Amino acid sequence: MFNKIIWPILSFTSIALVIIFILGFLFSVNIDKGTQKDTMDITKEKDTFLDTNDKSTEDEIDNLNIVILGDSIGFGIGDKSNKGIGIRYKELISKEESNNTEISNFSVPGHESIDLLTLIEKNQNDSTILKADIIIISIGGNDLNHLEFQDTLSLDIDFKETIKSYKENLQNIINKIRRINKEAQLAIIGLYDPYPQEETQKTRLILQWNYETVLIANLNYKIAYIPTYELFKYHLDSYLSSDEFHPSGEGYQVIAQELFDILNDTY
Amino acid sequence: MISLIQNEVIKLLLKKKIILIILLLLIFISLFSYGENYAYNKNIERLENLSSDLNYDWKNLATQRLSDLHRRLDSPYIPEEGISSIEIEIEQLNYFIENNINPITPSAAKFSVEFVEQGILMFIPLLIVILAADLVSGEFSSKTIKILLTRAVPRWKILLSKFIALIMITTIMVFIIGVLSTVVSFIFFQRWGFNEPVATGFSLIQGRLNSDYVVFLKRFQYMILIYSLTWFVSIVLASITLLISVLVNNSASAIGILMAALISGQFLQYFLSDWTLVKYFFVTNLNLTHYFTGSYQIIEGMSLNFSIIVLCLWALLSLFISFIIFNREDVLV
Repeated sequence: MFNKIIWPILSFTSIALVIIFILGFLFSVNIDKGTQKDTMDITKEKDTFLDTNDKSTEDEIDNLNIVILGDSIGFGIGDKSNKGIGIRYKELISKEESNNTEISNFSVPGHESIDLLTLIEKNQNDSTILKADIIIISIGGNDLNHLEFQDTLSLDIDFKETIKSYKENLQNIINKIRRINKEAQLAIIGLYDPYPQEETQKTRLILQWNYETVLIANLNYKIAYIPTYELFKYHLDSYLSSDEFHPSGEGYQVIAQELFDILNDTY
Repeated sequence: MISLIQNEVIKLLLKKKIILIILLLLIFISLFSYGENYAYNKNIERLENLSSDLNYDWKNLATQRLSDLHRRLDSPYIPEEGISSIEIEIEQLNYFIENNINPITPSAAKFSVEFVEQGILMFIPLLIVILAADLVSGEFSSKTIKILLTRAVPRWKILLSKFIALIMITTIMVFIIGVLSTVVSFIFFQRWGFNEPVATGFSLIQGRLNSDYVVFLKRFQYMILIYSLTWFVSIVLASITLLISVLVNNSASAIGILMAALISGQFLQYFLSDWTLVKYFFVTNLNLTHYFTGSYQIIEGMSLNFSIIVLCLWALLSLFISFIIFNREDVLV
């Protein structure tokens, strides 16, 4: 019984499986190798890519230039009509004046304050920033969000470190912008609390975060702080998009309106 | 030689360990897949309660995400390295939308991969220890070693045949794990999900996730890859277990030593970032599959290749030592 049936089956299947597994194993090692090799090329490609970009934005001087820097909120993630803060703000202005408005959006979803700092220190967007009349900055949400994965014990220590580096980065970002463009009006979008009441500790952190941002905004020349926490607090259902994190179209509209109310004379 | 291997395979089968292992697997797999199914249903319920509509509309969410991603691709300011990961997500979302599958729905193939990914650190090593710990030491405890060694075959041949038999059974066991976890979880989830697109091939460059060389695979191809890595880890563990089994003349202490090594290895990982010596310990390198899932690496300098080399060295070294010891050992039973 064993010699005739089980043994041939066992030996055959195990040999076949060993071959399959070895092949799969070699394949998976190869996949990993491919990813490690060509890292140098990427960085090169990236640089040339950004260079060509820069030239296309060098035109038109007379318009009102709006530059948006920052993360997914600056980019407009969650807005179904794909307008984001920039276009919604532009619509609000053009109700009153009829001049042309140019919007340049340098936001990259997922960016933290350090990423924005490295982005503008590359000097590749200097010409656009130089022409800007209004610079809208939305940053910090991702810095704070990364704390989420820590346990509560280390949260406080991590928070202190994160907020410290955030403050330094933000100040450096502002300094850098000011070195290029001395007169543009800056506006920093504050953080709102996308989570429902459950997480009181997070709310405290967000408020503390916003407070530090306000301090920095007020210490510097021509920087407006655009509060969003208060606006969103009781309207999470309608102001948040279906991912329950980013603002919805309505949410962006409210932020743009707030921006407009703070920066422009409405009455 | 073949008859020797045959003999060892019969011994392994007669001990009914395979049946014990299959029973363990059945219990764990049905527990886990029941739990996952339960959690999934709860989750859907919660999402339905949250959204004001009666139906929880994942499709709306997915299409919104899709249009966001498309818009991101259009923006000239998105860094190059982000593009391929966006394209992957688009492809995945397209698949889910076209086939009308909620991305968070569990499937049998997905469960099977998750099961070994979780099990590769403790559960699968445990099964191999159960299988192999008394391979040689059991001969001592039951005093059958005398009969074995009085045969007219060199000692190394006996150990080699034991090792080959162990490799055969281990291979079949990995296969059984795959089949059982897929079939049992299918009973709970009612979905195979073999054709789902999976992205793999992430790498970490200067602390940042780079997804430029991501490879697209069907779920079943991915399954084969993950199981191949699991198989490799199992073979390495089998060799180490063989060494312990040769060193210790009784099965209970062999199991004890191996379990202690596995558990202490898990604890040692906490010191990994400060104490670099730990990364040469075999337990630290067992988790090969996590290099594939795109989750970040525990420590700089540890990569798939590094772990494979370290594991290979451990396996070869333990085989070498066990052959030498088994050849020279005085048998006093």
